[in-house]
Amino acid sequence: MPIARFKVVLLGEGRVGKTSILLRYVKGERVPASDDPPTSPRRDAPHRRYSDRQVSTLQASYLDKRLSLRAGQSASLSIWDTAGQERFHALGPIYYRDADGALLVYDITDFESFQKVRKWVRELRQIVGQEIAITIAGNKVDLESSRAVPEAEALDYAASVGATHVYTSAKLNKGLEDAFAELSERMATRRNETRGPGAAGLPGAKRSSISIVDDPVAPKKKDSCC
Amino acid sequence: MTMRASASKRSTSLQAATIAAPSTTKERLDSLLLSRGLAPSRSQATALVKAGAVLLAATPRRRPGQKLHPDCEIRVAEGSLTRYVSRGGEKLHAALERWPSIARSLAGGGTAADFGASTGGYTDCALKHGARRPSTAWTAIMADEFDVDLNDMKEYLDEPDFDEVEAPAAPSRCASGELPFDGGEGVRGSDGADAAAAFAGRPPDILKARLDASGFGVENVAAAERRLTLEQQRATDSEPDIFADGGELAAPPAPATPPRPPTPPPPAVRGLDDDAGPRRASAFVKKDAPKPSQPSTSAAVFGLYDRSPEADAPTARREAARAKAAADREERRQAEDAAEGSQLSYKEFLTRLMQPSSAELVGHVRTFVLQILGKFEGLEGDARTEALAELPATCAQFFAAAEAHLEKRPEWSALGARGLSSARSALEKYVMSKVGGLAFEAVRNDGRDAELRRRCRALSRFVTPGHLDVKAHLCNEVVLNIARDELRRMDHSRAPADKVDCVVRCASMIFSVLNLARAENSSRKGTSESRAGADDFLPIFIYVVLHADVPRLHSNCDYVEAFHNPTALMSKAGYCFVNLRSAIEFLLTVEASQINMDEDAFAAALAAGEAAVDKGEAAGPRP
Repeated sequence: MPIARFKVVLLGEGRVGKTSILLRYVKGERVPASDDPPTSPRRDAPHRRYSDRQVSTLQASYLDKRLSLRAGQSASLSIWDTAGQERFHALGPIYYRDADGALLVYDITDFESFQKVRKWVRELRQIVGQEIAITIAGNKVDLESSRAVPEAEALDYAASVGATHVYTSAKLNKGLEDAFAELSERMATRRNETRGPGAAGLPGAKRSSISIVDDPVAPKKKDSCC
Repeated sequence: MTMRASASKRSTSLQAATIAAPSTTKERLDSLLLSRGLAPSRSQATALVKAGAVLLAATPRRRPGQKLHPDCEIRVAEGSLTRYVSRGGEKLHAALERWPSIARSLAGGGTAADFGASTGGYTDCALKHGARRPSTAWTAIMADEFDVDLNDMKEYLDEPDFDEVEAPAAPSRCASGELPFDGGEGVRGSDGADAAAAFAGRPPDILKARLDASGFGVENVAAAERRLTLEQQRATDSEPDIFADGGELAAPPAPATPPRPPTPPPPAVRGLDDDAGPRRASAFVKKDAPKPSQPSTSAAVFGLYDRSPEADAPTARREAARAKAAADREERRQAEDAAEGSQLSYKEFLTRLMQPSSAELVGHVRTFVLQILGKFEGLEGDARTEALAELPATCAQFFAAAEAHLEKRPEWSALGARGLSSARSALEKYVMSKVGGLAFEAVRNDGRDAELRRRCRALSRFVTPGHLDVKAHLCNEVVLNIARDELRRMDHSRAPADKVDCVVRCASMIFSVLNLARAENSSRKGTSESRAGADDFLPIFIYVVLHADVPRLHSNCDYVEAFHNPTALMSKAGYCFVNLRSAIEFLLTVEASQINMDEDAFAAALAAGEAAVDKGEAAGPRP
């Protein structure tokens, strides 16, 4: 079965923890819980040696992650971090135009960041439509005591726009695996619905309407058009 | 080399191998050397044999695996007992003979660093020529440049304790062939080409700029460069050309590559090769540090840290360098993982393409390219414009069909998904290198290019890093200029993938700066990790693009989008490319509020900038 490739964009205001989420997700559960007192790089070096395996220079901002879907299919996520500063807001469409999914991150201790999520959702629905699977992630649940976004409001809102709501903590490595796994399932379902299971491996085909001709002598045929 | 010369004299009378007594178990020649104590190690034994220094009945034996009677009389030619711990030393020795000025600077106590040391032949040779060991910090930076694991070099460093707690658990990866002793290209001749090959990973002028800017005077860089350019030229010339004879398939390309001197990988192949394997770099030579007060060049010289060294700075630096080296080590490992699926290098692709079984594909490619070229021959005016407008779709269709063809052919599909996709990329590269001129014409938009350039030039007159919230200490113009150089190469590259590659290299460089600075910060604060995300990257990237003044930037981007495999743009390369798009968009639409400026001040500054640009352009081309 071909591997389904999905593009997921990370959207959210600056400092809500997008980068930490990405970084923590790529390392998975192999990283020792970081509510341990901070260790010097030297002391935790053996862990780094292993878990850093997958981290490249760019990989706090771009990440390839392979995971298995429930149906036994493999999915490959390319997760794109985006700059969260307000001044770059208008650039969003360049990143999410052809995305299959979006993870909208807000900080549960920062109501503004949740308002920003609403803005992203409106935009995504307007520009990409229902095609894109959305997950809203309330990050920093380790700071529950300073919560500023009422839980009911967040959950209701997510339900009203057809998005999944999850709580995450990049710091405690909580909820991340599940959030991405669930998002992947929805993206796969959507793609299978719209294109049939066979077409899953070719994200590019969406944009460029290339028909892949089965006939092995196809290139010769192409000649007639030029 | 002396020992080679003597060996070849003796080899004039080739004897038939008469090996006695088949009754006894025979042994490999190299094992024999080892067991008799004629060579200190197996690798040295092999080196001796290959060098023709091992004689059986006065005849050199050149196959280390030759089975010989355990009692046979073998001897090692005098004077050939290796001077250096491995054959690599001989190569560097030859290079130093060829370029005496480097040898002189070593003898004068110059510093040498061997990146990718496995058995340490280069290092041994350099040290025996009087070189000093390099400072750890310096090595860390350079190691990073060349994707080499610092752990593998510790025994050659002046501060080998940079990592005293963590002993290298795994055997050296270099030794296991990650940085193949011969650069993965087979055994090189000892004619100094290796030194040139050391420069092959990057375009020589970039490297030179980098070294010059960093205060490393590499004597004879120019000589290495000339040689490299020559060889690259030759390598390019030797690319099989299925159009050369106007009809029949060209002969298999294997012997077309000049067997001597060894050819460093040509730059055109870089993009694909980079993914396939690590770059190799060794034996850089640095003249004596200009500042006697600071004998070891510290990382701070590179301006990558915002402070002058403090009491704990060496530790912090070591850790920062270590973190960075680790990061790149991981990246390399990842590249290896990616390579597991038998990725195809461009060269391998071309070799396969020239095999008889690929005749059908070659036929399609030829027909396609010749038809395109033929179609535009003498086509002018509207008809040409129309035909050009169709070109992207035509190419896309062809590539899709070719991809389907590849999937159907067992000899290609056996390569697996990765192999196929790299074959697809290589095919694209090949075809685009033939029709790239026309393809670029199809998307070229001088008006928009000029508009973007004018805008950037005007903005660059007054937009500072501060306007973009880029921290001053990150703005090391030396490094950023290198990043800009990489970006500007976009315009010279031909294939879409190569253009994207330039963007990736530019972005990687910026991320390196960011990560290094953050690693430094976090190790000081005691937080375990910190890496630059998009929030940090985009502003500084915009700043780099703003001042890069890339020729025909807009058209170059359109070209990539129109002719590059859309699937390839879903990857990391695509991420970098989209960031470039995004940076351009920002620069074209930026308003006062977005760069922390007052409306009026911004309008005035922009107008003044534009006026100055127009004036400058009227007066003549910018220097």
